[in-house]
Amino acid sequence: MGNKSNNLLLGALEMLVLKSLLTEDRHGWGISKRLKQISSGAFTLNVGSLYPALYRLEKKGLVESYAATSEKGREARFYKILPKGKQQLEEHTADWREFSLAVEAVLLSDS
Amino acid sequence: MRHFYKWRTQLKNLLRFNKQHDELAAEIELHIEMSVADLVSNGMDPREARKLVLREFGNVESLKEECQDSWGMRLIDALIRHLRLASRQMLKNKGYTATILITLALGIGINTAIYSVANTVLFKTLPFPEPDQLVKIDEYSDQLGGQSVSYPNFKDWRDRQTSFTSIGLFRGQGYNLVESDRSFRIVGLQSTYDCLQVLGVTPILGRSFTKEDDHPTAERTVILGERFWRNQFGAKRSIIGELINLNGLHHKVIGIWPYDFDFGDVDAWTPFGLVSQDGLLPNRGSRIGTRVLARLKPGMSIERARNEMERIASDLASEYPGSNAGHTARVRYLDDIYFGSSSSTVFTLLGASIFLLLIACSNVASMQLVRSFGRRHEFGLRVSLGANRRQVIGQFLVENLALGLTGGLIGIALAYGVTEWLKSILEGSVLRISEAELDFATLAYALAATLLSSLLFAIAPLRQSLRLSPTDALNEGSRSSETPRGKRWKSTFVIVQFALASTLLIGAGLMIRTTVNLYQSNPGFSTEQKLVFHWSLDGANYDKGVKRLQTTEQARKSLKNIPGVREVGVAFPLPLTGTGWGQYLYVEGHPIPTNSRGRSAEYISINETYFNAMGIRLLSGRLFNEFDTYGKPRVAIVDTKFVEINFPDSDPIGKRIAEGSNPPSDPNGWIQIVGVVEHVEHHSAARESREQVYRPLNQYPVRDLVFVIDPQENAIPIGNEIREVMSQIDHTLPVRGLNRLESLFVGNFARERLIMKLLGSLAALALILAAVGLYGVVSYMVRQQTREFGIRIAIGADRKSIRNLVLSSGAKLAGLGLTIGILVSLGLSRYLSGMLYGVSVFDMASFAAAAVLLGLIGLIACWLPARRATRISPTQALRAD
Repeated sequence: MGNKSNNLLLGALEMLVLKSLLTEDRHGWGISKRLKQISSGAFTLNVGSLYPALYRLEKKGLVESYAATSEKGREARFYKILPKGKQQLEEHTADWREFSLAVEAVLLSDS
Repeated sequence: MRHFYKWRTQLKNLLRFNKQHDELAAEIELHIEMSVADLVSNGMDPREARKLVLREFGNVESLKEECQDSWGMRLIDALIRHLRLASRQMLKNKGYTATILITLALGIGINTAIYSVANTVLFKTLPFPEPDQLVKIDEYSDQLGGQSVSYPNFKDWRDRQTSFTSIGLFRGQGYNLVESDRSFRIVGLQSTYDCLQVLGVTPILGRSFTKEDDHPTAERTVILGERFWRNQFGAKRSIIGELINLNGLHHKVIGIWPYDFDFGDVDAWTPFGLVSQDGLLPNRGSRIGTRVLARLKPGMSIERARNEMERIASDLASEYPGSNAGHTARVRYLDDIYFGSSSSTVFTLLGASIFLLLIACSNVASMQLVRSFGRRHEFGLRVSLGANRRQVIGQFLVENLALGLTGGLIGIALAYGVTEWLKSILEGSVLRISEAELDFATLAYALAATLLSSLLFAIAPLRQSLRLSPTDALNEGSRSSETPRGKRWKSTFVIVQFALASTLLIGAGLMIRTTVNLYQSNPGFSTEQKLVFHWSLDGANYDKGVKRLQTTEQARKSLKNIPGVREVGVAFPLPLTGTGWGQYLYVEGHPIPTNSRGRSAEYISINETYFNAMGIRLLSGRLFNEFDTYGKPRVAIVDTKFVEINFPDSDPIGKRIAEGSNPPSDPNGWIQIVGVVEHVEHHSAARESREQVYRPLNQYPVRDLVFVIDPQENAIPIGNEIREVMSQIDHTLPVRGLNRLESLFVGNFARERLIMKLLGSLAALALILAAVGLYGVVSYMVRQQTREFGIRIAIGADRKSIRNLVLSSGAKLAGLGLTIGILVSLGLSRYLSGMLYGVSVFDMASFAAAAVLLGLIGLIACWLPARRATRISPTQALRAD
């Protein structure tokens, strides 16, 4: 199981990024802000790892980036989720649920 | 195809790389700014806010790298960045870079060049099919050594042998090629028809000699060498069947030898049969430059062939004791003879160049060792700042590879230049040298050797330091401590370098002494200012001895009439020209030999003025005069060595000798000794020559002549006048090899001079490299001990004692190296012994000079760092941490 869970965990950030892009296209800072918001501060995102994650997603063809003007009038790079990204997110969500149930079952068992 | 796309993408990425890099930087900057703005709007101090955000971001540089990973750019990018850093490092540390580059270039360049030459000379085979079947057979006697083979003996060998598929005889015979109004000398060779079968070549045009061509009464035919055919006849194909004039006789051209048939670059071959009945050639006892080659039957061993030939020779000796007693046959591989003479020169150089490569390797290694110890600090710092170890090692590798490859490139250029230079100076003294070309396998080998030694010794200490935690590395780097192993390695390198350098120096010293001795050696006559040239009375015009004598005398008088000429002498052969004429002789009153051939001496034909022209002193008796002519009692002048051997206790004047081993049957065969002259070194100053017998030219009118001209003091050059005078006498006879006698003398030890020059240059390079190595190690040691020296000075140590401390540690290394080097030299110098003249292989002066020179160089190399050590200020040293 070790390997799969690792993959899942490594993918967690990417999943969260994809999730944050479902509602609208965002730039990096917007994504980090959104993630803080939806997690209600339950975990602190390492901002440093956000950009590598974005580049990996773009390379895999799950998101695409384009230059646009931000709400504050700054030129910024926006990220947009692609259909392949949405599909991956759904699959990963299912996997994640399965995984977390398994973890829960182990942790809550009375052994 | 897929690979192509992948590469194309990578390439595109590479081109896009900078843009992407900038975009990422902008993106991150924007992120930071917005986060800061956010915090500030919540009331935080802007500077505090920025600090906080940056902390949250972590290492921005490693972040960028991580992104680049996803661009698939990692390797190429890393390489480029490493290279950029490497070139910066190289430029920053110019002295170090230059030293490494020069060392590498010298090691690689010189070794490759010398090996390329050696490869051509030592390891290539003869340019004939199945060269390992080719042998040369000489007649051999204990007194005269290797001899030419007389034609009658050769014919008996040919008839009786069963070991060879073919056996042939040849002799070199220059020709005067006569064209309408001029003539010039060409290289000629006369051979029996089967000699060409032995060599196994086929003409590129026309045909080879047949048995019928090889006969005294056959039509005169000639085969031309391709080079000569191209240069002289413009490669005219219709030359076949045409007649050319050699020595005044028409010869029909029947074939052309291929250019790569390398047999002394002969211009014209003629059948030996045509001349086989001329002069002394039909005599079984005359061995005049006729040599025998044979080809072993397939599967025949040289030992069996030897046994057979020795048996045949011993049969002939009992059948013809008058000419053959004491003579056996000597069979040797042609290959050994052909290349053997050059091999000692080449082996010496090869050995010396390998020494130089080893010095270069250990120099590079010790410098790298020193530097990587010095850079542990820097690398520790890098690791502590977040670089991973692989990156650091990678950086270091790239740096060293870049350095190595640059050095290698310079080395290749150097190797090319040195090869050309070697070719130009070895031309003439080493066979087939013109074929030498840069050997890339060697180049690769030398490059690999130096690179490997550099990398291995650079990486080792680094790995060690990287295994430590960064703080340890930093701490340790600042202290003077160093692993004992590293120290030992460096010391070893310095010792090795000094040992090798001293060996080279001692070798060079011995050769220098040899050459000086040769220059100072006395050949027995004065060489100053004298001119010599060859002139051969070839052709039917000069078949009569009287005509030859008249022409010789006419030439001598005309030459003497040239203004500025003091005296003209004529002789054959002339000392130092490399030609010898050993013959047996009988000395009256001595027992007639039964088993052996008795006594022998070198015969020289001279005219009356020869001794005067050469400056050879008459010790007793008289010189030849105009009455010693043909038909008069035969006379001879002998040298002091002859007297020592044959008349140790009596006056030789008036005594009689005879040619051959026995008393003459005809009373006119006796030769009376009329004078004694000083012995002269006939072959070269380095080789002691035999006892000599001079005969009057007038009684032995030879065809080949050497004129020696002794000009008056401060005479103007008269080369052109000589040519003019001689061409007036007979324009079909060219003046050959007009030269100063002194250059013949010096030319005789060209090989020794050459080895001295090359060994000297190699030793000088080795000396420089060793000094650089010692300097590097000692100055590093001083740097490492800055703190220690500072403390010592602070607590009152004398600065002089600090200097002596440094000097003595350097001297210890140098001294140990020197001692080992001297021991190695003692072992190796016997290989040089064959090349030495007037010097013992244990020559104290050479050893002492090498020791002093190396000691001095070592002292200078240590002096500078030692002086630096004394100037350390204690406060500075303590703060150095």
